[in-house]
Amino acid sequence: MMRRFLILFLFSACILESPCCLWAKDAVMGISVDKKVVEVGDAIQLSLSFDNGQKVPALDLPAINSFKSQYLGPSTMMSIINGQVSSSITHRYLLVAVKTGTFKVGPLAISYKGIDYKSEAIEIQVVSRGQLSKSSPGNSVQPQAQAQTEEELKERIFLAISVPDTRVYLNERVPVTVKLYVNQLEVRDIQYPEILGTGFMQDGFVNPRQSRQYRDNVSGILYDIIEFNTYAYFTRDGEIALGPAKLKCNLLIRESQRRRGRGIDDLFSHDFFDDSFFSDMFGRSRIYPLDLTSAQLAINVSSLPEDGRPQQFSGAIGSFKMQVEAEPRELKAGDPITLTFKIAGDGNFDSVNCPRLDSEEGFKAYQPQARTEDGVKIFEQVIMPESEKITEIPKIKFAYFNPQIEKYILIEEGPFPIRVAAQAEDKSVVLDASQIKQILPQKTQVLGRDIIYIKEEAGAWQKKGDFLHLRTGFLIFQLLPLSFLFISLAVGKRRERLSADVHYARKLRAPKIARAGLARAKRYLKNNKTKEFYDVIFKTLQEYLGHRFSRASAGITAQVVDELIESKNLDAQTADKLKNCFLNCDTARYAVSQDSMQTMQKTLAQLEEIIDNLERRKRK
Amino acid sequence: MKTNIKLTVYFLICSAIYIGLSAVCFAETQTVFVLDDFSRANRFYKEGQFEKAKDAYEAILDGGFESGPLYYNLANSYYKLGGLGRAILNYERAEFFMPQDRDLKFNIEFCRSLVQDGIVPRQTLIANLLDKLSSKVSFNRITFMSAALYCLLCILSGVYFLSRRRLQFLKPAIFLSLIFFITAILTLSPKIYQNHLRREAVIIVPEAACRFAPSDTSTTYFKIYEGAKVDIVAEDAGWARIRTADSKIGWVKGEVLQRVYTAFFKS
Repeated sequence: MMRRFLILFLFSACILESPCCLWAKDAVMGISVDKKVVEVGDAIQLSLSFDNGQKVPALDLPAINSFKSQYLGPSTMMSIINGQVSSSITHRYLLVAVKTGTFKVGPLAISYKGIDYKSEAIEIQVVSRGQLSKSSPGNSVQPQAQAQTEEELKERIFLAISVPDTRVYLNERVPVTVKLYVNQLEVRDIQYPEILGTGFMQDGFVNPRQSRQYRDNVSGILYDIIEFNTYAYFTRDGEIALGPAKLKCNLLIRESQRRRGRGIDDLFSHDFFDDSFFSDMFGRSRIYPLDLTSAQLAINVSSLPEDGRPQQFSGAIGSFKMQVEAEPRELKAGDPITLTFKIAGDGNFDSVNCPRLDSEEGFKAYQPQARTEDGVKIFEQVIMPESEKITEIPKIKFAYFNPQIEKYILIEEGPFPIRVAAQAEDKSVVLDASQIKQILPQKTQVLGRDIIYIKEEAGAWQKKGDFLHLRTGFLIFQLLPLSFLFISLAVGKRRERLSADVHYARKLRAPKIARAGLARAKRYLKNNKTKEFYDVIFKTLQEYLGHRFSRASAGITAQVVDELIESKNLDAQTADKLKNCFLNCDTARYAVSQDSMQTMQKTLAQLEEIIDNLERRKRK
Repeated sequence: MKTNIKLTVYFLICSAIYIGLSAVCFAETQTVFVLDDFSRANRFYKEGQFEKAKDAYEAILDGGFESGPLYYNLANSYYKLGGLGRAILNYERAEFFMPQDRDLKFNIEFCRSLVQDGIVPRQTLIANLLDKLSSKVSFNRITFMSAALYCLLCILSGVYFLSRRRLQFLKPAIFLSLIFFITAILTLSPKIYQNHLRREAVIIVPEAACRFAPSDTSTTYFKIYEGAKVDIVAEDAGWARIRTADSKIGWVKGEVLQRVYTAFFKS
């Protein structure tokens, strides 16, 4: 997945970053102006467009005779049509006419990243001041001026009809395109075009919102174009006139600008898709109905060739593929098999008839049912094998004429093996009238048995043989809760014993108390505090022995030590040290003396030895 | 008391994290990118090219991936090609992944009904109950559920033992998790038995002779037909000692049968 993503990313990066490398062959420079006739002192807009060349910089216009130029700025456009990305940049310049006459702009050229862009030349006519305004429809209209305006209007909005090839075959599906060209006019209420003529049939037009709307340069003028697409089918051979196409629409005319009276450009000088909501609301515009008519097209229609025409050909013309399904394949003689033929492709589906079995011998065939869905014509035909000896459905053949390669094509599918079992013999049964009544209203259904169809969803994939219980990690993971349980059990048991058995709890506490006391004693020894030292030694000894032997700590003194030694059967060495330790403590605590550091160290060492001995004894 | 409740909550959170981690680490599904191959195989099937469809499904299996629908579709392709034994074999394998699938149940029953001399094994009431229980969930899922319940049981019991005053409200929870855990184990055990110990296999040739001894010259005891499900009792030099559903035991050549699930077996 990561690898795919990386490839996609690099590919996209290449497309976005290096357009000239990829599209070098297609790079062209288009040149257009917003009007070709202009008065002295007025400006026209010159556009230089670079298809698939978003980063091409603005070129410095060479000095153009009779015009002063100024760079207005770039505009970029990116479009995605059927997944194909295209981009373009248009550099706009303002040209102000300074002299009357007819002048040429271009050809212009620029070289960018090793690619040479060249444009064609366009001609611009500059007339003297006031010459154009005379022809304004707002003024008292002169016939000549009006004719000039209408002629100019024809150049600004017109209709064209086209087909890919004027040489076609009878019944061939021919794509027909009607294009509406508009140059800087505001057009409203565009109706579907109508194609006039006889000798052909046509489909309905594709919704123009779903069809292409784009801009194109025609003879140096930039037009907004709407394409209307349909298909035509020619029903007789010979030369047939297609069209003219007619289209009705409304032009929006600005009243305020009309009053200024600056010719047709001022009348309609708005962008094609301008929103004139406020203008309409305040009554500053009016509607001008327009009937547009295209030229005619002469189509040369040929009948289908006789040579190589297969026997199975029944009029289908186009390019098709056939898919055949037969279900069920295991059945009893006399049971139905449904044959489903799916004819998909590009062509005249009205001319497609149901394919035929190579031989219908041994079968009873019924009339096929047809329906068309999204570019596929589906026929369903029921056939019945008449005996159990039938082992296959014969080949199914379908022939069509492909106008592209001008040949007949024969497609074959099958044969399809089938298993036909013998029909169980009918036994005669005598029924009374009531039984017949019960039986008659019920519709008989032929029920076959077969497996249920495949699954479309793949479900959850897993590595083959990768089962949870076979994974070592999973098994190790299972030890964690068990360990927790055992630890909890041990801790709980110990806690229970500590709370229930006081002797045990005191015994466990004894070494802790001893350790704490010894630490304090060491601190006092270090600071040479004799009295505090012996107090701590005595108290530690008392508490340790009290906890260790389950006696009241306060009651343990030098006097009761003998009894303790005897009852607990302590060894002589430990007993001596114990007695000595108590004696040293008593002496130091009750007699005013200042023991040397050495004596104190000795006492501390004795206490440590006593505790150590007693702890070792406990473990034994 | 407050400390005890805090302790319980703490450990329950820990157990939830543990179960979550287990789910993440050992989730039964893996995202794999064999969907294109699967769709291609389906397309072949739809076009009636069952041989190609079968090859395409098997190529996915050879690539090391498997799923319930893959085995199901492969079984359908085999059925269409007339391989009843291999069809049943692959339906059995599919059942391991999607035991509750109705289409699968229908197809497997339908194919079993086509087996010549098909013998339906008798089951005790308890075995039948356990079988029904285990057929509700897939193997990995029930393994995971058992592990999760075991974890919950351990943690709840641990918290119970750790608490100073033995939190009484934990007792019913421990009892319930114990019951569920036992149920999960009971559900799991038939599957383990079926696949680890019983070693099921399906006859994949139209007819096979079952002999008294693992030898070609040995007397034929009985005949067994394509699609019959048997248990492998032992194996010896390319021969398998099998037990049929009606408890007859005999020797067949190893190539006449195929194990339902070989991934469990190291042999």
